[in-house]
Amino acid sequence: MKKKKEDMDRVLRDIGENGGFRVPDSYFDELPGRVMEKIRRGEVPASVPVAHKHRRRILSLAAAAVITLLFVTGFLLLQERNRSAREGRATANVTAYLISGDFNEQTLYDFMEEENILPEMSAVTQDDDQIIDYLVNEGVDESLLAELY
Amino acid sequence: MEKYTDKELLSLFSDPATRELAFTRLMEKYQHKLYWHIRRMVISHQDTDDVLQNTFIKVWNHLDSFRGGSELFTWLYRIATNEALTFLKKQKRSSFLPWSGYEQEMEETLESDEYFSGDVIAEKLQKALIRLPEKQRLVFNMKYFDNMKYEEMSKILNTSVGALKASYHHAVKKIEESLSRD
Repeated sequence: MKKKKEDMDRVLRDIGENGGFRVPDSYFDELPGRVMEKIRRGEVPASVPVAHKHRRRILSLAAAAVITLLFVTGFLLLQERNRSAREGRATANVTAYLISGDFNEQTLYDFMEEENILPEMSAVTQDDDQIIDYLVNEGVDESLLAELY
Repeated sequence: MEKYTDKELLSLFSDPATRELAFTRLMEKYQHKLYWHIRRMVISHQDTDDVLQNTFIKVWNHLDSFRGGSELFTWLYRIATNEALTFLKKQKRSSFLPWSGYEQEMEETLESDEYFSGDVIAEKLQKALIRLPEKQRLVFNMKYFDNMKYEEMSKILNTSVGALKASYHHAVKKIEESLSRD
């Protein structure tokens, strides 16, 4: 207890009456003149500008904006990764299914429909006879057509 | 420069012909004491300058209504104290980053103030003072640095002598603790 008191007394003695603060040269010579000038100009005492107030606000807003941006970017990246993973999984499933060889057109179609990976189908369908007619008209050899059909 | 008594200053101020002269003399007479009183509270020189100018402008606007019920110095001190506390309140409100404490901001202001000696011991004491509640800091400064009597402080701060003594006692204990810890 006594030691603490001695510490404090020593510190207070060392720092002097101004507590380590200084004033710019000739500050007190100029202050009355500056105040009188303000009074003559009719300046009402405005609220004192709080030091660094705006700087702090700007920094805070900037920090908030950066944090928001990071969250949004993170969220979008996560979504993109999930989408890629889903597509990758679907492709892998189709490949594995095809490799197994255990499929027919109908089951393949059902599977693709289930996985929502059906390619866009043409609105126009053509039957075999129309195709053959077209090929014959175009002069394709009938023996070759016989081999195909 | 001729020294005027408070009574003479008030009398000169009441005459429009000598009003400005009286007020200039009043500022010259009290600016040092008021400056240091404010500076110990708001810490930075720039902020002190703003608060002190506002104090004097308020005094100019209301000196006519000063009836002499208390001493002029007590009245000036009260205005300066109110201005300093209002400034600190605003500063606290504007410090809305939750991770940066108000005391820490004040310490940073102290460290970056070019008109602070930077002496390690002085810095230690000022930081210990910054960590005190405002009322205790005010009482400590007025008692220790301004050598003010409790009765005088009581008039300025509108607080009982007993409460002021308790505040000073708590402040001294906290400063002692802080200095022996750091």
